[in-house]
Amino acid sequence: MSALACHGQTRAAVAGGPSTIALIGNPNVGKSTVFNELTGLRALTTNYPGTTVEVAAGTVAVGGRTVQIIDLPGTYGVTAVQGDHRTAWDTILRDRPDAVLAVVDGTNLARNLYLVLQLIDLGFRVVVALNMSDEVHRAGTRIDATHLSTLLGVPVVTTVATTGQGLHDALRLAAVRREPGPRIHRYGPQIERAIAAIAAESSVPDAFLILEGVAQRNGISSSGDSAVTAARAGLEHATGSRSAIAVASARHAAAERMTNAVRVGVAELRGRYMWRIATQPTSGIPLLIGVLGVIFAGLFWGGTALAGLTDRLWAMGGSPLVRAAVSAVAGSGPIGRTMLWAFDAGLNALLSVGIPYVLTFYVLLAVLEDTGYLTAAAVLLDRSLSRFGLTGRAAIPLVAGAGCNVPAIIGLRTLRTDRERFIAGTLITLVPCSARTAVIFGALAALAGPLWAVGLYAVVALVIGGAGWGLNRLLPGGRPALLMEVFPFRTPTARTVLRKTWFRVREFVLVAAPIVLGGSLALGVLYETGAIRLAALPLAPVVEGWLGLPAVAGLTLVFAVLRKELALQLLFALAVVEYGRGTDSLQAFMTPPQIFTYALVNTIYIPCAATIAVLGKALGWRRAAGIAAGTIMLAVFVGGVTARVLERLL
Amino acid sequence: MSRMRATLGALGPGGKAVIAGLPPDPAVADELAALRVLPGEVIEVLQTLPFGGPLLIRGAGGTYAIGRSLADLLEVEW
Repeated sequence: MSALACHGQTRAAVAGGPSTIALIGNPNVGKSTVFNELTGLRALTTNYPGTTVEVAAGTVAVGGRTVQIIDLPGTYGVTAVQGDHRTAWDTILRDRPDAVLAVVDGTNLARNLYLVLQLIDLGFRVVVALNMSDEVHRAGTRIDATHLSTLLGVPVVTTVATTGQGLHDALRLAAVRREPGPRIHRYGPQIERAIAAIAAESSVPDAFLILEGVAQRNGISSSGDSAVTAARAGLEHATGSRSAIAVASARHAAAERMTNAVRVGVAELRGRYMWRIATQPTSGIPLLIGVLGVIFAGLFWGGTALAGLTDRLWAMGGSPLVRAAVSAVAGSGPIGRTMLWAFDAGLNALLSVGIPYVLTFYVLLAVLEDTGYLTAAAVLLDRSLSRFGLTGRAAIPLVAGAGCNVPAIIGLRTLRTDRERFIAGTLITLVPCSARTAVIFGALAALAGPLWAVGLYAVVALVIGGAGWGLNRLLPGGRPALLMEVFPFRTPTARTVLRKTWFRVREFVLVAAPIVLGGSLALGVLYETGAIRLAALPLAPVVEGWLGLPAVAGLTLVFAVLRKELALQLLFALAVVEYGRGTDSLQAFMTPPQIFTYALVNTIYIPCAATIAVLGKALGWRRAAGIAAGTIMLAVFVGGVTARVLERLL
Repeated sequence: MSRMRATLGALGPGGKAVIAGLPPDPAVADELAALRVLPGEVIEVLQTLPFGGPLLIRGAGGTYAIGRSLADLLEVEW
């Protein structure tokens, strides 16, 4: 079928001459304005090469190259041209320009897109100038040019011909020498089958010319081919109309669908734009890193400031009141002192460590949730989390775990399989919650420097990654697929943010307070009776020998299972007991590498009592015990290795 | 004339088709059904994320992010 061939190559590619760009569009779309704007006063009216038809042509320099622009007569469809102009169009079909710049009236998009779709069908390399966008704006709607570009598979540039806006961008895109991309849009099975059958004998552009009844006048002979005749007859039989009408009807329908998909309200366009930024890896990953940075900065500055405030308030008001009440009830003996462990130190810890960081974190989390960003982050992270056997859904509880592990584990119920819940639950217990963050900031960052804290987060991130990867390898079964409703971005309202924060902080207090108070009471008994020192003995080989920490530091770790921030407070208290009142800094007690190892082990080993309690309810007690035991082994291993690495390095 | 069949995962952005078959896992199928992703319902692909990431789809029930592995199990026709 040699008569059908030879339509793909461009004239310039053959001749090696200057690029030719044809300006195409419906009548009255501002095409002449575009032409004048692009060519300035250099335009001439000449006979179109090889014809007697007059068209305007001009040459311009684009990126150091000369480009010829031809302004073709306005038309509704390349195949529907009457009279004189027909010759110009037939010539365009024969001597392909390097690109066509299709000027489209945005206020009548559907009918204008018909021409664009036809140009793509006929194999032209198309760039769309979405013109009259100022009038679209005035009408109160927007056209999602990015989405239109995706649907068409060709570049789309928003332009205003009367001001010249966007025109030179469109020209630059058109002047790039490139073969046309694939045709993305489809016209339904009847037409596509006919096209495929004819294209097998020739090409898709020729198949459209044949079905649209303009092949003959373009020098394509198809009458003798039985496959072509059969395909065309089949289409006409199925649709009950001439093939040209069937194609026109289907193309208008496709243009209509596209128009409905891209013409949106102002708010929706903004939402779509932000959604794309948040979910495309190139922009989404930097954004995610920025958001995490804001969370940590918020915790560091906001949480610390709030903690200082509540600590001072407690020292001024709460503590003297509690001390007076306890001494009135139980005196100042061992029983009174034991009670002070719970109602003075315990309550103080809850108010000045737990609540400030948890509150700060939950305000930030509620804002992120309310904007809809967390859903976008879940979609963005789905692919990365698949390495851990998780879906994007697990991202939300994992992030929430940085506030408090307890509600994060309660949030596991949104995950679909047992396997995913188990992996996510294990990883959440490794995420430094606000209590562990308090130890990291209060001991490591304060005494050794902020870079040490950054290093610790890096090690913890590696441990979480390694644990997720390992669990996904070891556990039988596979990863479920993501299925999650997504919502457009919104502006968060103070009311919903405060309500969410209030409910979460209340939940935290209800779960944590009894365990913190009870645990503090038990610790007070052990401390006041002196039983606590006995517990240090069996730990000495691991703590002193393997981790390189003072034996009493190991003790504080054991009791920190009650509440993680207790580790730091106990360490200060025991340092005072061991080294006397003069030692008000841990620096005399432990070196920076030792504090690093200490804070690292405190972060990784066994989740706190409240976390174990909800873990048991969510995953079953055997699995909760397994996670607890596993994290102890992991912490001892990672801690010992880190201690040795730091010893070598420093 | 018979219709064209494929999986939802094979459709590109802007692709629109009618659901023809749900995945074999009944739990997943039930979840989809609750979201009105059912045989006979029209589903449009809004966006696909690169590197085998999820698809953003819209049906009569709402807009959903759906993993590629699940999209490859959903049969569609048009």
